[in-house]
Amino acid sequence: MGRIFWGIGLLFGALFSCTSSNDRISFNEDVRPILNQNCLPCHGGVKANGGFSLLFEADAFAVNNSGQTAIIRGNARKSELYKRIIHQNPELRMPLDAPPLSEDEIGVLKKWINQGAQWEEHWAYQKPVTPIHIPKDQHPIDYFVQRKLKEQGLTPSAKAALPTLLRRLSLDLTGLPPQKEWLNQMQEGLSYEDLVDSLLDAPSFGEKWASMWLDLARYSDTKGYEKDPHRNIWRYRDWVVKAFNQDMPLDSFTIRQLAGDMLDLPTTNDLIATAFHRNTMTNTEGGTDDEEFRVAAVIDRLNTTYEVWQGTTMSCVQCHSHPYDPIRQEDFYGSYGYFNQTVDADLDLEVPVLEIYPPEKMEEMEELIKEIASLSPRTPPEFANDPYRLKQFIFPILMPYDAADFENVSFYGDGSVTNWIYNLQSMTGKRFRFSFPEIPLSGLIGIKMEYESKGGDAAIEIRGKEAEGVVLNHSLFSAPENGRGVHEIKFSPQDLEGSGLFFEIINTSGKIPEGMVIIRRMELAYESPSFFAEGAKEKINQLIALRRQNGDRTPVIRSKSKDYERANRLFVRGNWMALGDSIPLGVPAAINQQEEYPTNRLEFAQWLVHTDNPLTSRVMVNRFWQEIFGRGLVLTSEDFGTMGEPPSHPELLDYLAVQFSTTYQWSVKKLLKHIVLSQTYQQSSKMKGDDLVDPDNQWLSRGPRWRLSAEQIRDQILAVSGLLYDTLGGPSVMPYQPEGIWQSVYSGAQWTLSEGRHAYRRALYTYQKRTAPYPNMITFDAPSREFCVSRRITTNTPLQALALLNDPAFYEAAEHFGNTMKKKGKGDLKAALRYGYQQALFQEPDEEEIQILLDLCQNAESEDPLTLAANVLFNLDGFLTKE
Amino acid sequence: MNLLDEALFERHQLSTRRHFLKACATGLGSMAMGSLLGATDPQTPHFIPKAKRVIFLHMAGAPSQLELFDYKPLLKELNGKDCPPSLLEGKRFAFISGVPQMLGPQANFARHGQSGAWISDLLPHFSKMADDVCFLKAMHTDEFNHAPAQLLFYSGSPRLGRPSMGSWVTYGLGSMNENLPSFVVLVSGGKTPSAGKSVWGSGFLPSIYQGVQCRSKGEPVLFAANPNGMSASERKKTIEAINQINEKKYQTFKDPETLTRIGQYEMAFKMQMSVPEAMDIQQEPDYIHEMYGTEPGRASFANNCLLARRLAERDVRFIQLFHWGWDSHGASSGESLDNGFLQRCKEVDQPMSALLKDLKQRGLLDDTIVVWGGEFGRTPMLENRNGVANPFVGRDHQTDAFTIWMAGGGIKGGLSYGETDEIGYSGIKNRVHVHDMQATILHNLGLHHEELTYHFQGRDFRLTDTAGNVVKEILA
Amino acid sequence: MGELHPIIVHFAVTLLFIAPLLFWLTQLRLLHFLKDLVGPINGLGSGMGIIALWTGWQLATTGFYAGDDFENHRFLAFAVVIIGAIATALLFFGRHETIFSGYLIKLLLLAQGVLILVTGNKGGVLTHGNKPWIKTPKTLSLDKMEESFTIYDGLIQPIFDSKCVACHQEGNKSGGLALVNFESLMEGGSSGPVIEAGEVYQSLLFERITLSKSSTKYMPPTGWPLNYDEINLIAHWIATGAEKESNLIDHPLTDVRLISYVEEVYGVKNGFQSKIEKQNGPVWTEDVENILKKYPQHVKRIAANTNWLSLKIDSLFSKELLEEVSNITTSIAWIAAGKSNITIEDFSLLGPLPNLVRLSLDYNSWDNQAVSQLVDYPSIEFLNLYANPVGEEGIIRLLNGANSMKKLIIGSTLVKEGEKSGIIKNYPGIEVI
Repeated sequence: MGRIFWGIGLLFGALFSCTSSNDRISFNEDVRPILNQNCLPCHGGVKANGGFSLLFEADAFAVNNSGQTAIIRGNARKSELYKRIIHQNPELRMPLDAPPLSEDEIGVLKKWINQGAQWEEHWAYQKPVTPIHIPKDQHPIDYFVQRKLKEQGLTPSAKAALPTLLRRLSLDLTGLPPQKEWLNQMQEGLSYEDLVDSLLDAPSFGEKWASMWLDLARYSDTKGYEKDPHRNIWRYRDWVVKAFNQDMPLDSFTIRQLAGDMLDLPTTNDLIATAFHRNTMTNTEGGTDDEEFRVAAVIDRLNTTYEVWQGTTMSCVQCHSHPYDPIRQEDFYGSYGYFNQTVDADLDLEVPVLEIYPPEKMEEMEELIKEIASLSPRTPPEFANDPYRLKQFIFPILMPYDAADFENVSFYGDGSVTNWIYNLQSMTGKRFRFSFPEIPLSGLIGIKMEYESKGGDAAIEIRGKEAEGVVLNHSLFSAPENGRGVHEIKFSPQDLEGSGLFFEIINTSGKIPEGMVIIRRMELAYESPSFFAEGAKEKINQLIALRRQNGDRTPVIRSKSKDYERANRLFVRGNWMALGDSIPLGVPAAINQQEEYPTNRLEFAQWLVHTDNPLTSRVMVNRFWQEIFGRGLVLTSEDFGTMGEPPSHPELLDYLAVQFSTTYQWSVKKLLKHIVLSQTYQQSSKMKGDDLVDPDNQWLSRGPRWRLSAEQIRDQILAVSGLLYDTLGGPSVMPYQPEGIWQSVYSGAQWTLSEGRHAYRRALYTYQKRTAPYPNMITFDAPSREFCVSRRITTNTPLQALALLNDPAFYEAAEHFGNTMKKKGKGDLKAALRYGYQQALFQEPDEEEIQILLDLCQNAESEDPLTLAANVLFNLDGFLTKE
Repeated sequence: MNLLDEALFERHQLSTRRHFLKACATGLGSMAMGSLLGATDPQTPHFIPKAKRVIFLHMAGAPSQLELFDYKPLLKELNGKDCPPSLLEGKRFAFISGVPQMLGPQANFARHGQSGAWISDLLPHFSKMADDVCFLKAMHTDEFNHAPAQLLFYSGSPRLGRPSMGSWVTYGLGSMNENLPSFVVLVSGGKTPSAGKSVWGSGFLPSIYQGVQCRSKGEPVLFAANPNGMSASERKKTIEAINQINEKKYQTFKDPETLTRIGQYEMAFKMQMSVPEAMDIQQEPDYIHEMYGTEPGRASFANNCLLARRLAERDVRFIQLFHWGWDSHGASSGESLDNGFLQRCKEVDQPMSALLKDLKQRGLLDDTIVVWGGEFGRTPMLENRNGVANPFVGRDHQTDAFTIWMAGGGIKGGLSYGETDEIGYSGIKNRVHVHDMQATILHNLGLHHEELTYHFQGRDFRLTDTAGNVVKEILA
Repeated sequence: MGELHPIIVHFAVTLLFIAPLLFWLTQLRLLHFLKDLVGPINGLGSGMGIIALWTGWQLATTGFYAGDDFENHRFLAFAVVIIGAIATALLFFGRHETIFSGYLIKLLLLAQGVLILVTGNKGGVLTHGNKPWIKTPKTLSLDKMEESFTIYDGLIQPIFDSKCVACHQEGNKSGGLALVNFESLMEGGSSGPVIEAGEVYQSLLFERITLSKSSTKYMPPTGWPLNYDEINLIAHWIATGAEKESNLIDHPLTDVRLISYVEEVYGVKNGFQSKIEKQNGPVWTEDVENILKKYPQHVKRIAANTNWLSLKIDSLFSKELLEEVSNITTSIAWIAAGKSNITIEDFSLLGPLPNLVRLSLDYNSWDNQAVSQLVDYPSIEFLNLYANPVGEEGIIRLLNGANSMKKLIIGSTLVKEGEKSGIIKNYPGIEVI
């Protein structure tokens, strides 16, 4: 019998023995794509059916609902995962209700498991490997690019013709066409590199690169939503232009925009920089709940920050863990906390705002301040958020909208505060509070309030030192005859030390409007010695008046005070009204390379630009590369996650990233110079034929050839025609726009043509209205700036042709240019045409082309044929394309 | 270089070099060759098509199925009662929170036509067309916010950057006329849909497949008029010159975009000629204007419906109408079931019925698919934003069940397909997902939705993403 | 362990068959040296046999197996194993020289060899049935979709063939019922008729296929059960009278799901089908190729999977075009000639057009005389005469001749509303708009 069982054993052995081959399977390259494509939709961050998820290694090898682990390292046949993808019964086969995986896919997974199911971290989350070896004799970029070209069996192109190259360079660095004299200068020994330097120093450099950044900052001159009213935030745009022109290192560029207000002694510029995140939309529609849209704004700030600096798509994580990338829903709210503690609250007035005054007025104010100071026996308290010391010197008068922090109240332009808010439902259970933490309490004997009230149901409660501190006063506002009154509060002389006044408006009856009050201004009274002598009073009023008349308000970011700090809770299923557990501050573990997590917004910003952060430098370098070559090394510049494209030149990307963040100390100009000095950049953009296999020029076997951006097209036409008014900065302008474009409801806003030369500014300065963008911006693929856009998709449509042919603005330029041509031609039509061609395309026309134009002019019906010719020139492929 | 680009290449070279220049010589008016919008290319359906065109009537903001087609007597009884928690569990809403109340139908229903389809009295004209349309009453989608839902509806994916249905169709079938875009978009209601122009964008498909927005007020197409009274012939000469020089440019750079541009300029000129003619509804007889309720010169849905017919007659392949203002939350009177919604119904009822009738009498309905619907449905509960009832009567967004209707082009008329539960909360029989609807539309156009693909970023993409089944049951 | 039965049993069978064979062979001098192998092989065989018995038992507990075949199989299996065991014992310990054991062994091994074959065969019948399986019913090519197509032969019998006849066949009528054809079905089984015409729920057959699967009476007890659509098809046939000759024209399916199922699985269309959907059109000649190249705008292939062509005639059409097309006249299925001002004279340049199914002539000036000449085009299914000066007379003359007409558009013609409704009444098969 023994023999028998031996025999059986042998037979079974033969039955179950399986073959496996040895070549290694890469998780990132081979396995992850299959999982992302087929499994993660149901076994990922959104759903984990059967308690099984493939998002994190931990989950993938954890015990699931079946009571077992689905993947058994080294044994595919025992692994439920494998059994289920090869299962005969469609009811049980994975992926469910979908065609079964292909033989190869199954093969890959089987091998992977049999080889021990090794998990790998996504490439983008790994730190670049340093040092990177590059042969000395070659430009690093060319070295990496040409290595790839060899692999692809492609050859680099010859250097582009000088004029072509100069035009490319000029458009890339400054967004404007090149100057004729450069050619001569270069004959006189000006080197390409010198030229690059001079272009980098040109003020137009900042304007060009700002237009890239403003897409990311979703910059707009309106607030968005229904009425889509005006927003005064152009100073931020100018800040960006300046920052690029001063070559502000990208790390401080980052920190200032995300947390400029938290630096010690922030300058006005640092504060303006924080407007980056005040570009979120504000909903001014009646009946909306401000909190709802404040939350929406904060979420947008979070998403934008992660897309801009981390190339990570966070939006989906609001509601559930990331479907494809190792980011848990908790991570979203961990980071949400960094942005949640800011004062702004979707108020129409957009407080907190930074008031800025024209220089001449500033002098006047300084004068007054001096006089007031001279009259003051005691130095008034300093106000943290007041770069101009105005609040200090109108003290002891308080303008409510200067409050350091507030809750639920809203403000009016005259500085008054009220507990009146639109969404009546959302009033219940809310406290209407505002605070002045800097106010000294000792010797305080009274407060006088100018107010408006419709009934006797509004009370004021004043506490000292802290939000829940001692009650100094609780009193009802009486209902005044004409609705306006003065409410006088007297304290027994304060023996309180320290500082801080905390106001709460209480609607005692809950009735509306009886319980509503508007407090215009408050005047504090102290026992002598008072803060100012009687004489100063009317100077102070002058100061207040000056301030109101000339203050130009830019919305900025300001941190909330501890007193009114917001709880940071997870939104269940992303619903801002369904609050879940409170979540500690944090960033996704997958990205964080440090032990500690940032503990506030400032540290978060610093964490982003810390050299340990694997993403920021890669993502940023990729953005600049994309601007120059029309296509990022990572095509999906918005998504470096596992669903994004892997880099076409991984080593090159890492090299540039390291170079940028360390050697160049985040200097954008150095980076750009490095790129444009490469042979790769200087190649001719002609298709040679062997590169037909690469129509998108992914492997860079030729120079970049792309249709110009919306901005470049307008700027070039204006520049060439000589109409361009190239002055830096200032409020947005309104060039010609056809009738009937603006059609926002409940809005009287009109498009009014800007005065004089301001109608001919660079496109960067064109007024940007979210719900009705400037037609030629949209037609040429500019986004409408509701949300952050990393990548414009270049199109080529008949509408673009129509715009270029017929837009009166462009045609006017053609007329203007036509006249110049006429002058230059001195009666010789051909010469005029030749001149025009050179001006427009920055290259010599060949006879045939001139002949074509000549025929056109000679058979023209119109009396100024040169305008026609100009119109033609402005529509040429060579004119509209960077080549 | 993939097949499509190759096709583009050849076609461009063909049409530009020979045809266009020749045509220019013989005058653009008599130009009988195809534009570069796909007219000349050998794009053929996979199998014999039932339809050649599509007219999409999109009610942006998502109209309530419970007030129009999905009649729920039980909901009437439950009106005002608290919503049983079981219905709320695991559900996601845009705004509802806490325990909302059930909201009965805000209209009276009756059966219409031989098919006995339920239609409410808010659509008196449309109810006469009951036997010509097929109702899909158990539609469902994945997205419960407007922009993503609209993107899913038209591009098959809630994220930006995918081609829209119209682009897929023109890419798959080419255009049928030489001087109008094959994919036209008409917007009424004062606003473009939430998802913006991406619902008619071409995504990663070549930009020539993009939808062109025409305005029924002012210049039909922006900048279609020549500046300073330049004559058509003058314009023709300039375009000739431009394209001749660009042609030389192509010779040196071999950049396909240059060829596309040449085509676009030619196209632009033809549009200047033919768009105004096609868009001029003044030419229509009075009885047509009465039928549609049109007032020339206004940007109204009625005008757009009439335009849709004129464009269909001129063999525009894909016509997409958006009518804004259906988001009846009840947060404001404009967006409430007791005001704005009624207004919208009045605006669309007569025109859309007229469109059907008109297409039918001209024999156009036979090979034109008409689709009406919104990006999702509305809840059987009264919306209670922030847990408190809204100032006006309204319903929240609802992904699990909504109604659309289709007509003509091989779709079975007089059929109500699919059922929802007793309160119209979710589909219980013959559910149709947005991807299924897309697959079905492509099917009737003779396209297999799994074979109509475009290779991009290392993957073959298609309109129906990775899902979609043809709803055979509704095919005539 | 039940599912292992097939695997193991095959080893057992092989070994228990080989052993006797080998035994006889070793009688030959030449192969005598192999005789020691017989014992171990036979031993291994019966060992496997025992395991097979046990696994078989497990399998039987699933309840899918019953009836005489099963009983026999089980009995024989036991017999074989016992014989095998004795034989083995003898082979190892028996003294071969003695006549007795020598013969006994020969006898046993012979019996074993024969029995194992019979047993195996019985087992085979149980699992595979006597008839080889027909996986999917034979699908019908579309042009079979004429009146000749009957529901029973086309739709019902294939179901029986695929899922029932294994047990219900002539010679082996489980329950006395055979389902090999209409007659045998109507004979019924031991418990009487199984079909009550028109009475779905009174029909025994319907009851048995719709019982709960756990019931012992549920049919089929083994193999794939009937699916939802098959059951509905049977129901439809019974409900509509369960006649041998009934077809989908007289008894069209109503359930949309069933319609598309029948269309998918059987390739059978329920409703109307255009001629060009039934046939693929004449194979392309060189002319076709040339014309397609020459007039890409006007002549197009209707679809990639068919040879039919469509012709577009616009206001700029040339006689030349029409004449050239007349060379490929049989390939043309669709003609769109709206707003083309084409006359019947020009039109007739196109030749006979035997396969023209769609014709659009909207916005032309065709009068009674012209329209009535369209009778010469026999296949027209769709005709659009919108906005033509044609009256009732022309339409009627046309309709009297046009047999394949299905849809006719006469909006904005001279036909008055009253006349129109008259036409609609007199030509019920045709949709007149």
